[in-house]
Amino acid sequence: MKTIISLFVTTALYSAMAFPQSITITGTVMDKDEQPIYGANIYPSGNPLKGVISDLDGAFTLELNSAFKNDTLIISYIGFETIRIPIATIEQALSITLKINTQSLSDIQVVARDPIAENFSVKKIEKLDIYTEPLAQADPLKAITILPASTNTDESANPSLRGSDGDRSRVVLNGVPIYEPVRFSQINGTGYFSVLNPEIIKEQYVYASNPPVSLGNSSAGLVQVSTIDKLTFNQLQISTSLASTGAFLSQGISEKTFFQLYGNNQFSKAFIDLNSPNADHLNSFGTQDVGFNIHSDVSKNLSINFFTYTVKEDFNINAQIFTYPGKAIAQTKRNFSILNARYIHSNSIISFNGSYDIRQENFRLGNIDSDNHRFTTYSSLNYQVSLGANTIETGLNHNHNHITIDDQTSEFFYAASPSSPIDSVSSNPRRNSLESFFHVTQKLSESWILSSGIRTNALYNDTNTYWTSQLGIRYYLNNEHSFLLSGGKYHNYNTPNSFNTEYFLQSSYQAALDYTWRGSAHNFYVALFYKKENDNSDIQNLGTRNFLQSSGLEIAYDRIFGNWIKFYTSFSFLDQKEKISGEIYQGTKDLDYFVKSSISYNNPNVVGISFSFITRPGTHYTEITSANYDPNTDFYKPEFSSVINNLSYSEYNILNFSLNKIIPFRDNSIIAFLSVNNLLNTHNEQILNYNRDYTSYEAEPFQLRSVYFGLVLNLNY
Amino acid sequence: MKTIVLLSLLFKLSAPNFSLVSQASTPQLQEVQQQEFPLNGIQDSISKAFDLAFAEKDPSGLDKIKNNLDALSQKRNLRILTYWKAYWGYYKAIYFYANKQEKESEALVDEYIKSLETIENKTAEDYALLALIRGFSIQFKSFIRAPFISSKAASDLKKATELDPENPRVFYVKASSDFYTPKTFGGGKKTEELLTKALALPAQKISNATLPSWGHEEAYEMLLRYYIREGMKEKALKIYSEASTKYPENYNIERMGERIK
Repeated sequence: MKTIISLFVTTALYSAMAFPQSITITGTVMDKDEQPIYGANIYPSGNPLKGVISDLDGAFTLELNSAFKNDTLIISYIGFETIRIPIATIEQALSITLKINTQSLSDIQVVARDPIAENFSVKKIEKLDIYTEPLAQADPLKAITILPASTNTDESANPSLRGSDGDRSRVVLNGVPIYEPVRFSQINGTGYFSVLNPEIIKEQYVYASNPPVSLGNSSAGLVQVSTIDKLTFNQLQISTSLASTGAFLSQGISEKTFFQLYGNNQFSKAFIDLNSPNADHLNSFGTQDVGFNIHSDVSKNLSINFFTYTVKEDFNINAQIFTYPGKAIAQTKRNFSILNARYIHSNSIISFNGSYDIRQENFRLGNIDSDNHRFTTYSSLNYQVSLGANTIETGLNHNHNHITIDDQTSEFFYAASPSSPIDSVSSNPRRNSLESFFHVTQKLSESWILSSGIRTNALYNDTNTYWTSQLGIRYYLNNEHSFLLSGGKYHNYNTPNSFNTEYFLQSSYQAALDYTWRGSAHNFYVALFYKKENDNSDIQNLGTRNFLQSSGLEIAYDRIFGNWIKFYTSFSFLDQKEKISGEIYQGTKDLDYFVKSSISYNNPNVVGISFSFITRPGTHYTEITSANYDPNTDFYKPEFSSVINNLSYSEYNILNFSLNKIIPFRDNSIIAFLSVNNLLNTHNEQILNYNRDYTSYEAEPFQLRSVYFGLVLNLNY
Repeated sequence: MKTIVLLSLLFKLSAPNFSLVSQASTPQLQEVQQQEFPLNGIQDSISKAFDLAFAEKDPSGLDKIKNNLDALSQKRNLRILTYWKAYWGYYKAIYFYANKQEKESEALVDEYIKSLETIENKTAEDYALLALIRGFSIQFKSFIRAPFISSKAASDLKKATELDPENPRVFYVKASSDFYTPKTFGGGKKTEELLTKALALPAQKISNATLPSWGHEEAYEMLLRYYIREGMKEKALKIYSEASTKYPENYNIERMGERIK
């Protein structure tokens, strides 16, 4: 019996070995649209080499021996979620649907994309643009002035977009508004350089109008600036020039952390001496500033950035206020810091942005002695989630502004000598606002993207409740051509100054149509816009502005010729009207044409050379028709024309020239540069300085021809 | 950049067999397989056709592959076809460039960059190829535009890394970018590390003859070139020994090997 059993067992084993039981698994692999997936891997987890791939119809047949019956079948394809099925549970043909791996992809999309900025800004400016565009003069905010939408008429860096006052637009750095982002500020807010160093900038998105509700507090345009989040290489940059010395260190600490530390000392004597007599109105100017930026990708999900900037500046210039000529002396000390934290979880981002800004300013001219202390804090908590083709953003932000104005001003605006009667203006305005927003970006199809959003201070306010709302739609005809139609109602709070000492809410209605053609070697841009800005600000001596209405046309074209030559030109037409104390007048920036052009040759092996040219009509001002002697002040009191903005300054023309040469040595380089501003020494009228009884005047020009040169040493390691 | 072209021109891929499917033993079976799995070994086919195009100064073989890809596109809406057409376009662009047809070469890379850009939900493979082709396109672009293209390529590679941190092609393209970046701009510092990493990673996690597997041979060649450039002879000899064993038919590796022996 034993023999029989043994024989049976042996035979059975032999049979099993000779003809092992096999498992046949068949099926199809499809995507969610029921399209076959060709090339999907189907294999047992224990031995991928035993696997097969799906055919053109998504079909597969997998033969396995019985040893795999307790294994797991894996079905995978690149970009799709992997499916696992215990082989023992498979009883019939499989019908597998693979889902797109949205988990990891959406992380990336969220991290890499800012759908509002990418689709609803009109221009993206990168760091190199700041250096290569002659009109930018290597200043991040001056790089914006090249755009046709920029209607700066005061040679300042403070963005003025589509005819609006500078204070209506906002510069937002890493999600935080920087009020008055300029240096060498005068009492009217004019500043000749921005507080931003191009080396810390990654990119700038410009909204010529229709600022995104996610950032807010703007009723004109907005410039969204972000600092770099990756350091390409370590570098020490040492610069010296006719009016400054400075150093900039970019240093990686680890693979995921780097910092940038920089400082500059600006001085005036050599510049003034060399450019005399064209710089004789400058007695002295100087700046000392230090900036520090650190970025760390703490983990795959969390990144932190901290930026702090301290500046001390002063200037002493010859100026005239009505008929009193004197020395305008100003000092400013400022420190602001910004902290950003961003946490990515699944397909969403939570971000925190916080900042403070402390500023102390003093300005003196004649009997004017203005002391301002400004303190601002800002914090925001935002949440962004990508849901398929849609992105939803919502957030809360708190803004605290506190200004102490302690001014001694002229009691009679026309009498500004030190011995003239004075008025004391003390004001202590504060503003606390808690604002919230909700924004949706919907990708309607491959070509159409819709943006809609609201913003309000309704949760808490100590002023009027407002509701900002906007709608925008971008149409991509193809990769090169796109249209943007946008409109909305917007709000902002003003920044108080010596003329308008309180906070008040301003609003605007805007509509714009932009067309962009991005070719491989050229860009073409056309825009039409309309906006009406409601106002309540005091226009010195002339009344209260009720509204400013602007509409216009903008055209820009740039083209690269060969490898080294770049040409740029833009044309703007701006029709502007303003209503002051109930009457409608021509606006100060009612400009029939505003042309900006530049041409540059940039061959790093030879030389960089560029010319830039701007021409426009002069801005409008109100005529002084007569003057009456006032024995109390011993000054004449001017009488203004009843028609506001009835005259205009002469046409403005400026031609600038710059030259640079890169001298490489080992892994390093020296850059020598020379620039000549206002090459033709054109006398562009800026303001009229009257004689004592206003019977004659002399037009004070913008900066006449000036020469500037220097060296930059780049040490890479 | 001309060096890149030269490198690409001199590639002699050793034609490894990537197919998971059992080899067809009869012509009939081969035909059936070709119908069911038309992209099997597509990477090899393109490389071989490219080599042949140079050897015989006739790109007809390369063009035939494109015709086949187009024909397949008309029958089936396969996502991967966009990838392989772009891969083909990259090689054809190199062919054009080497034959002094720079305009045609530029037009082709521009076309396939746009094509890859339109892929929705790009994978790490898509981004790696996009960065590779962008890198090649820089030579046609002006000094002013080049940094922006580099920046886009860097962005592609960042996304590719996040999607697949262990993809050897991503490391190779990163290394390539670092290798060809002038030292003045910080180039060459990570080449060795990135290429070593590329070589340490499997060409594919799961073998699949329809998907990309390039990068290893290219990494060997670039690492050898890097060691020679940096004067690291011992390391060069060591890597040459490895590379020569794995890719004995690679002309470029052998040529460099002769220089350092």
